[in-house]
Amino acid sequence: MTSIKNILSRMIMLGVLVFAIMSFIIISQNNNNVNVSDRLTNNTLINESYGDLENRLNQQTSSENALNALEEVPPQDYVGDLDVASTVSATRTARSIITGLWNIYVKLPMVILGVDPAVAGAITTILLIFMAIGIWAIWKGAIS
Amino acid sequence: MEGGDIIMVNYPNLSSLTNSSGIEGLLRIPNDSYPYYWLWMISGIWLIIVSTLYFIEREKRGTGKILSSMAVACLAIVVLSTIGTILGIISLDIMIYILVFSLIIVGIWFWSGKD
Repeated sequence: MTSIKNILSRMIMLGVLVFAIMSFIIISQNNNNVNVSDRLTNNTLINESYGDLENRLNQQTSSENALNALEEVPPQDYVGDLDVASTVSATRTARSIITGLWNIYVKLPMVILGVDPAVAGAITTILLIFMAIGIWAIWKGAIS
Repeated sequence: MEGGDIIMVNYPNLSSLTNSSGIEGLLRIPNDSYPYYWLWMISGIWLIIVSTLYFIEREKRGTGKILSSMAVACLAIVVLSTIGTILGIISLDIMIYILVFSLIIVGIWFWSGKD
């Protein structure tokens, strides 16, 4: 019997685990002076999610920097990409964790397998629709 | 030399060995001839960890869960490959392959458990 509570707790645990793994790799590489070309953040996909997150968390040291982080909104997502935009700084920082997970689990294998971005966008869209329908079905009790 | 045979010899590329390279330079030697050497080594370590965990569990409890053994071994090789990048023997390409493989298995492991 799968319940929403179960799914959510698993998602949270998986997110925390992946985030811990990524931050372990990135922090230990940064602290041990690994060549910049060999660092994990040198990969574009990882850098745009976890590297940005690390930068944003480092920026939250003074009120002015926090304001800059609040104002900076780079629109760089294409159609079919997961985009959870928000107007508040804290959630915008947390958004990087969600999109980072998505990048790692869906986009990174596609990049390694050499899937075209348009095809990847289509697959992502279909996947998101099925996820929404699936969550709705569980919520309504159609799937138990 | 009159009538002697010509023997072609391939010397290994020892450019990673310098006065200050130390053990890291020694570990980097296979990378110059075959870039995926340490990927195969880490895959072997992963396989050894998986079979050890699985067969020990099977011996003790009668049944074993191969997926959880795989996932735990994946966590171990992520740590190992991070140490490898610090030593300079594992490049970013190999690290990305290891990371994608590991995270997919860890993800499946998390979602496949019984409630």
